Amino acid sequence: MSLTLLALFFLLAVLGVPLAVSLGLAAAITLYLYDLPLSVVSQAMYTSMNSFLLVAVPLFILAGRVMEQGGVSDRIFAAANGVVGRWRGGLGQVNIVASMIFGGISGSSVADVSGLGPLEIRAMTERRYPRPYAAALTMVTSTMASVVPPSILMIIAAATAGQSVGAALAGGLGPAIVLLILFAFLNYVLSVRHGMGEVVPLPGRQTLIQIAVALPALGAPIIILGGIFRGFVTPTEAAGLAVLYTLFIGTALYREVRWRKLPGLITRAGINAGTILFIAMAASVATYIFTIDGLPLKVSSAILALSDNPVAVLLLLGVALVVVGMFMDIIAAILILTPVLLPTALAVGVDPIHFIVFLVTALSIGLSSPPVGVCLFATAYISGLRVETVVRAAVPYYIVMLLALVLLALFPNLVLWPVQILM
Amino acid sequence: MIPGDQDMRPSTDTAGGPPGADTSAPHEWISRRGWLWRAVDGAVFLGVLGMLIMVAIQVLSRLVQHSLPWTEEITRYLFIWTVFLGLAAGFRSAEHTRITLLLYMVPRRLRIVATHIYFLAGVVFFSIVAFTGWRLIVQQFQSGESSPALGIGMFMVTAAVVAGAALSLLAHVETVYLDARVRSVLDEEAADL
Repeated sequence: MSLTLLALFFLLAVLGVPLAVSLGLAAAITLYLYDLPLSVVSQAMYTSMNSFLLVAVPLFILAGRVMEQGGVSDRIFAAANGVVGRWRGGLGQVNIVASMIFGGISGSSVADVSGLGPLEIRAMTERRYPRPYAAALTMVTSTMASVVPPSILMIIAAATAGQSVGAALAGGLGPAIVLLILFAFLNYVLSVRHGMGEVVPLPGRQTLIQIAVALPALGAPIIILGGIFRGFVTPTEAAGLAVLYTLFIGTALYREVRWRKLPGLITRAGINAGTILFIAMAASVATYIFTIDGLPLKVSSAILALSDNPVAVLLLLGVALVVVGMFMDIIAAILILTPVLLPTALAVGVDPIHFIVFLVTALSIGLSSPPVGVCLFATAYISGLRVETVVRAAVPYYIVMLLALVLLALFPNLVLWPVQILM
Repeated sequence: MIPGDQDMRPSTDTAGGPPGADTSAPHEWISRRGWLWRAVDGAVFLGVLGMLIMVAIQVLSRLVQHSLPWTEEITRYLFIWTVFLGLAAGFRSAEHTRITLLLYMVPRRLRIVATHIYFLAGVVFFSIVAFTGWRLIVQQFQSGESSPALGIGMFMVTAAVVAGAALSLLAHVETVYLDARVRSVLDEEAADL
C-alpha cells in the first residue's frame, strides 16, 4: 500500500505535476485501489489545517516580508559590519552573523536569501571578494535561518511529531550555533589563504552609532524568543507580535515601509502560506495511509536489523535524510518522514526533540544543494551567476554542513542543552 | 494541436517568473486578472489581517487577565479559509513547487504533453476534493454541528475546502487553456520555487 503510494507519487512528481498534487492524487488513487473511503482526502486536508499552531506560518512569512521592505535588514547588516567587519574575512563574517539574526526574526531560508542576499553580495564584491564566493556564502548561511528559532520548518516538524514546539525551537539554537562557528572558522581560513576581501576598519564611534540604530531591529528576536521560551505567548502569538513589532519599527522608526505596499505584502503572505501548507494537507492524506499500512513499524524494524546503536542509527538516517533533502521539497519531506522515522529514533532511545532538530538540519542542507535546492536557485537568481558556479564555490561549505550534522548526531547535548537552559 | 490555442487571451502577467524570483514584489498581475481572482486576493488579505487582529486581541486580553474564548476559534477558521483560497490563488499564478528538472531534458513537444498531465492530475485531484468535501458539508449541515465557542455551523468552515477546490479547478482551466502568459510559464519557464 505504502509502496503503491510512493511509486505513484514519484511518477507524477517527475512528470512535472506539483508536489502537493502528486502526493494528494497518489494517496487518493491508493485509497481507491485498496477500497478505502475517498472521503479521507477532504477530511484529512481539513483536519490538518484546523490548527492554531500553523497560523504562525503566514504570520512569520509576513514578518519576514515587512523586514525586507522596512529597512530592517539594512540596519542589521550595518551593525554586524560595525562589530565583526574589522577583521580579515570580515564581510564574510558579517554575512554569517546577519543571516543568523535575520533568521531569528523571519524563520525562513528563502526570505533570508532574497531579503538580505542582494545587499550582502553587493557589499562583498565591492570589497574585492570573488562574486561566486560571496554568493555561495550567502546561500549556505541561509541554512541557519531554517534551524535558528523561530524556524517555520521546526514548528511544522514539531507539530507533526506531536512534540513541544517551544522545545524544538529552542533545540534549533544548537545546530545554528554549531553552523555559525564552523562557517566563521572556514570563512576566516579561506579569506586568509586566498587573500580575499579588503579590511576597512570603522571608527569606534561610527560602530556604536550603527549598533544603536540597529538595536530596535535586534529587539525583534528577543521579543519573539523571550516570549515563547518564558511561556508568555504561544509561537502563533509571537508571530503576530513579530509582525506588529516589525511594522512599528519599519513605519515609525526607520520609515521605510510604505503603507501603499502593505496590502500587497499581506495578500502575498496569505497566498504563500496557502501554497506551502497545501503540501502539508496532501501529506496528511498520505500519512493516514502510511499509518494504517504500518509503515513506521516496517521502517523501524528494517533499520533496527542493521543496528540498535543510537549514534549509528542517527548517522544512517542522516545519510538518507541528506539524500532525500537533495531531491525533495523540504516541507513535504518533513511531513512525510517525521511520522515514519520518529518511532525508529524513539526505539533506540534518541530523544524526540534531538531527533526533530537533527531531521530538520539534515533536510535543510538540501536547500542549498543541486538539483532542486530552493536557496540555490534564489541565490543564482539574485547574484546573476550560473547555478554551477555557485555550487563550485560552495563545496567547502557543503563539507562543513555535513560535519555539523555528524557532530549533531554524536553529541545530543548540542540540542538538549539549549532546551534545558531556555525552557 | 491544442483546442483554442489561437484565441488565447493575451495578458501581461508576470506569474511564475524565474526561479527564486523576488516573491515579495507587489505583482502587477494582481490588478490584471478577472474580478473573481481579485475578490479571492481581497479575501486572503482580509483573512491574514483578521488573524493578525485576533491574535493581537488574544494577547492583550490575556494581559488584562480577561481571556476571550472566541479569539482562538475565529483565528483558526480565518486561517482555514485563507490557506484554501491561497492555494487556489497559487494555482492561478502557477507557483506551486514542481520538479521541472526532467522536463528540461526532453524536447519541447513532450514538455507540452507534461502540461496536459499537469492539467489532468490537478483536475482529477481537485474534483475528488470538491466532491468528498461537498458530502462533508451536507453531512454537517444535516447534523446541525456547530462550533463550541461561536456556535456557527461547522459547514461554513468546511465550505472553505470546497471553495478552494472549485477555484483550483477554475485556475487549472484558465492557466492551461485560456491565459497564454501563464501557459508559457507552465510549458517551459516552469519555476522551481
